[in-house]
Amino acid sequence: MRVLIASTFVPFVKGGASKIVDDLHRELLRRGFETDTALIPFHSDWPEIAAQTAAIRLLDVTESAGNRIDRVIAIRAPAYALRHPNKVAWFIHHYREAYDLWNTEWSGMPDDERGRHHRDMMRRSDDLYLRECRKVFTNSKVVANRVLEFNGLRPDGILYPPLQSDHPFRPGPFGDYLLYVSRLNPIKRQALAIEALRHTDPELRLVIAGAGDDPTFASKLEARAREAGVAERVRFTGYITEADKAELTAGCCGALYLAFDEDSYGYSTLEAFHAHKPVVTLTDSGGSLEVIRDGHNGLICEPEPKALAEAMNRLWRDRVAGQRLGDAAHASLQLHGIHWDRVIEKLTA
Amino acid sequence: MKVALVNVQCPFVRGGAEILADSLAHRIRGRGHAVEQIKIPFKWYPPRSIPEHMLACRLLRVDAGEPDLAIAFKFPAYICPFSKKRLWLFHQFRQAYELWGTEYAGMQDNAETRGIRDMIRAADTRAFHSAEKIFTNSEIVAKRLLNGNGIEADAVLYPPLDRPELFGPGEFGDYFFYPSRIGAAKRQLLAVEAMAHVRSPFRLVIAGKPDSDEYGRQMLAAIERLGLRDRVQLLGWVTEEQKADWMRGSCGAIYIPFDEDSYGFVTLEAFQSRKPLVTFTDSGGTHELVRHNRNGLIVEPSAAALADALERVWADKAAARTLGENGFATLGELRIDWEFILDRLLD
Repeated sequence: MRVLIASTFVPFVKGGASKIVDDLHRELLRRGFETDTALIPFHSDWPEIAAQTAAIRLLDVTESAGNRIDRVIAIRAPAYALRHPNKVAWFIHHYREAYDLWNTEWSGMPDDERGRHHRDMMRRSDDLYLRECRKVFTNSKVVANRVLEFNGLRPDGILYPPLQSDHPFRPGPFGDYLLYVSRLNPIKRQALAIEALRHTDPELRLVIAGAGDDPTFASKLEARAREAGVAERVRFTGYITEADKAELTAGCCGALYLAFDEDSYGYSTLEAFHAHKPVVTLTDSGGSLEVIRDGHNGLICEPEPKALAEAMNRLWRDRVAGQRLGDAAHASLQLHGIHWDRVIEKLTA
Repeated sequence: MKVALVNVQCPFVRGGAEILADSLAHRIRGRGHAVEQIKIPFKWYPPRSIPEHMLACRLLRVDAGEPDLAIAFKFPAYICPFSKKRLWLFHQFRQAYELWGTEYAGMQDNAETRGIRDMIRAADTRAFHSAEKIFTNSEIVAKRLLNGNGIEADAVLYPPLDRPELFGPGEFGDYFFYPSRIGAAKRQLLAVEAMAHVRSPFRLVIAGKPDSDEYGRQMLAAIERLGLRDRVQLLGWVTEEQKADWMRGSCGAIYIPFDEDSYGFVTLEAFQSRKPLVTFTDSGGTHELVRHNRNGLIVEPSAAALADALERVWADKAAARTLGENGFATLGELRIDWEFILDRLLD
């Protein structure tokens, strides 16, 4: 079976979509599918979307040099505009400025005739091209609900993106630190974790791993830790390798995922689950709430420093209970079908 | 500096242009620049598909991600609008130029296809005029650029091998080697048919993946029909290391495409391995490197003539060795090296 994975991408920017494409490509090859990718460059400014969508529509990927392409799996919008009789979408998010972010401070699209016109073009082309797909899967409930709400289409299921099969994450003894692996970014709210440290047991440490899009943001966070008087208990790793990340995850007493209103639960949540570690997340974090249940496989608390500190203390003080949560977290992977066998079966059926 | 390499893509097919683009990307990164490869799917049949893909290339944004420079290789990717665009032209869309009216044009001559042909030529000329610089990969393409579009190339940059050091001299074994993408344009079928004329006990070894299942089936059928199962070996796709080993042990290499623009990596691989190359009078680009009776043989495009040429190389190994050594010397005489190319492309 010849499978073409199609997606759009912004050149010179590493995004979540390119990781899904790479992982899916590898997993399909591993299972013997003849697989290739078509990655269409995409300019993300709203006035540029419609013309590029038309361009994608013009490309013919039904065959390649006389050979039939059996299946197209479309990932990032609007790759599903490609013409193919047998395409499925693994839909990861809308062009949100024209959807749920429309008319909020997060949308750069003006609420005027031109802006509304472009918004409607995007929505209508999504309506049309998603319906051409034999199946539409989303990567989360949040996104599935948006497809239903805005495009009037009920997705065929949710396929949570798994870690790649040969990931290095493994369990280990519960140490004296909580780990937050994420891009350094205000929306990920690392500052909240730093504030929380002021209220936790003094032995408890925090490791913040990841690099920032904006290099000055890391030094701002460091300054924040100094001001809060917790600088010696916070370690910033900066960019780290997968192997180092796996080692840090194996040794923590819990992981944090504090993003604000994300669609997805974040790969770091999965990494913690694979390492049998509980994850602390916030009531307004979004996607993580689909897989984390308070007191079952992690902790969910209000987005404020004292509540977070209390959750962190719980994991540190009772590591036996933490271990139980971590084991349940690992079991959640099966419960939600977060593994490649299921994903590939659904996408190629 | 951010450099975008802009190419077309035929999914599931990987040939010389893809290898060259990868190689170039790797070497530009080696100079400390960021490189992103942009590949736009292209399907050229039926003919009305061509203007659709041309329009798509006009609408797509190769300036997404704000590159400082784009280097484009092939039609129709190079018609994408971008002010900082340079071309390293591998070939035009030849069906609209010198292949027009031949059996290789892939389209009937009628009002619709003539319109498409003219559209291609007009879009090309416009794209070529808007490019900062135009390099070609051969004299022949530079000449066509002048004849077809009235534009003079800035220079010819001969594409080198990705890893020339893999290829080296070896014994002259009992087979001739034809490694290439497999398809009608490369005429492996003719090489198979030549083996039916061969009297001496040497074999033909073909490496590569068929472009289409159909052509692969035709080759297998010919091998059966001509009773050549023991004389022709199909390796399928091989790694670069395996290819180098097969080349090293061969008695000579075959490269007989129809009117190619470029000399083909096979020619470089053969010469790097000190092997003579057998090619045809109508093969095109190989003639830029191959001289008859100096570093290879250039013969009429027929199975019988190819068989004769192979017999000749086989019969006199000392002469074959000399041809191969001369081939290696040819590489030194022409400036086929990456540093030279990067200087010109990035300057």
